[in-house]
Amino acid sequence: MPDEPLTPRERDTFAALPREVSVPPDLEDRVVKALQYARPSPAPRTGSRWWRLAAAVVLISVGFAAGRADFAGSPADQPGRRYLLLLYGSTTSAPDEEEARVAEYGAWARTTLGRRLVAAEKLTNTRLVLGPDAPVPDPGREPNGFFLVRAADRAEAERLAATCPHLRHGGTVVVRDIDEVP
Amino acid sequence: MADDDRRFVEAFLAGDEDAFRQVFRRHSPRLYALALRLTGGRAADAEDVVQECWVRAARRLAGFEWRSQLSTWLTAILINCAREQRRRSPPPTDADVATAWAPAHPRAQAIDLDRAIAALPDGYREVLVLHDVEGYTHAEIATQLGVSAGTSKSQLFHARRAVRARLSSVSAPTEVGHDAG
Repeated sequence: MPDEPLTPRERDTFAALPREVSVPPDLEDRVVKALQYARPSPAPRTGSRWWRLAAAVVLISVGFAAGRADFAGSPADQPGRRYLLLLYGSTTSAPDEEEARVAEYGAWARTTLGRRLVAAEKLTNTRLVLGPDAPVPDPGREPNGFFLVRAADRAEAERLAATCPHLRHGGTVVVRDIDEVP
Repeated sequence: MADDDRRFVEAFLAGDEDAFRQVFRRHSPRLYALALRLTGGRAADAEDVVQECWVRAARRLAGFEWRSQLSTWLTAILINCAREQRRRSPPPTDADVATAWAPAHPRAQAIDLDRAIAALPDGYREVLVLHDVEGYTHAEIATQLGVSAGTSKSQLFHARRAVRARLSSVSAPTEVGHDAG
């Protein structure tokens, strides 16, 4: 392979390239927010909530690890529409499996949803049903978590949902449109 | 800087949020510039890459053994994040590059050069950025990218040729050119 050295002029031009660029002003807070959702360690070394940072295993809520608070604003401020991905079934109570699941879902949220992620939560089984015609609660037929995403259209939302790791675990994902009230 | 990095990281691992912010501020401007180049100037992608880099780094920091510079270690993580991001994104455009870099470039030649870098195939771009912009050796690049040093040299050869061809087709003789050297 022949050498292809830079000329002095080329070296000067490369040298003029900026090696550092100011990061967007909200990026630091977004990263910190993402880390705040890190999973607690079994043996925290301090009483500070920041020990969770050191543990740094991502929790299911990591959905939020993408931490795009800017997407949580007014719908009118953002391109696309919001869609709710409701997760049904396929829960686990084994701690090891739960931890692995959490990491897997978190990685999916960060890498596949990325900036499309608005919010996500895991739901507990605690519920209160009100109203005269309220249905009898059926834990097997209620969502146990959700991802709120912003997508260009429903087709994109469905494509995203189809990649959700919940499906690989035998769960069900339902995509619902958010009615964006002006 | 390395000593300070270690001090801040140890404080962070003990639960100090401000220490993490210090580490973030020390390294992120360089990581963001690198992410911009590796993603072809797509600012939104570069932000995601930097964020993901820090999330992964935080997860692994307790196991970092300080055998290399923290900046080198972070760079390796960022390269992987950028590769994953590129697989999910369409190719960059000249407009992406112009928008991302315009405020940071001191002169027109530099932004033309970044446009040419953004237009490179991913493999060429990685090696050229790491070697000619970041100053890594071929041995270091080989380690970072998981290739041989010979592959790194070969990629650099082709990358420089492609950059020269691109610049010579769009610019005046004052740009990066073909003069001997």
